[in-house]
Amino acid sequence: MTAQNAIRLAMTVFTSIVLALSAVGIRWTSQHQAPSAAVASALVLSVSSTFALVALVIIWRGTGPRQDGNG
Amino acid sequence: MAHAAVGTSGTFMERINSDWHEVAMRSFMVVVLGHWMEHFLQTFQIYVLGWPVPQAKGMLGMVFPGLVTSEVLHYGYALVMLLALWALRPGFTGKQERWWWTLALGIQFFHHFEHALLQVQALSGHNLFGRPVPTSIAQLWVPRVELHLFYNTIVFVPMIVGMYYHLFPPETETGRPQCSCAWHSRSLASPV
Repeated sequence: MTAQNAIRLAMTVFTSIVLALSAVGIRWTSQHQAPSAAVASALVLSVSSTFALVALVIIWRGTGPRQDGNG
Repeated sequence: MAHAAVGTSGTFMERINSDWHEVAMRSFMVVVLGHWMEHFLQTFQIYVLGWPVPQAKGMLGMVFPGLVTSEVLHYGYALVMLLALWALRPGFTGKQERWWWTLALGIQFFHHFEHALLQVQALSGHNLFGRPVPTSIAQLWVPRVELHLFYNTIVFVPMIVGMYYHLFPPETETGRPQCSCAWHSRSLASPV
């Protein structure tokens, strides 16, 4: 595994934790918070998840790094 | 492992953005990830273990409960984040990496402002919006645990994208790094 893919994988694991916690959080807040607060929580947790997914797409779709000489 | 362009003299700000940038970035990441672990654990305690919110204090908060309720600590961390994002920014010389890092800095500025509001209320004893506890603007709508998860995510995501581009500059990037962070610079510096 290249260093680039190792870093990508580490970032993916981290992002997966954010996504999992956000998903569980949306479910939990819908059951334990007042409706208006639950909607607000679901909104911010959804935005967080979207941010995390965007980061994953950017990191994995990128072309290879610049090669200065023998890099 | 030092990059060929790395200098060994200059002011503190110049050095943490050149020959000390890699060490400074790693140290900063240890602090940021440690903070993340606390938030991960706190949300896990609430969402998965079903602990009452006031009892979910993360890991350090279990040992030192005052840490979670201390507005000074929360404000201090927000300030450290803001200063580190600002101080380490000149080391991001590429166009894309700097754009993402600057986005994180901008979002953190507002996050810091929210904590400053809380800090002022805690110090003065007068809470805004007629609330019984110190309350930030976004807290008018969003509960605190979810709001913290949100702020930390939307600051951290542009940070890691910026760091990714900093470690692995795209072929189209023409900026000349002054530090040893970029992966290809290590190959250049390694003995053949």
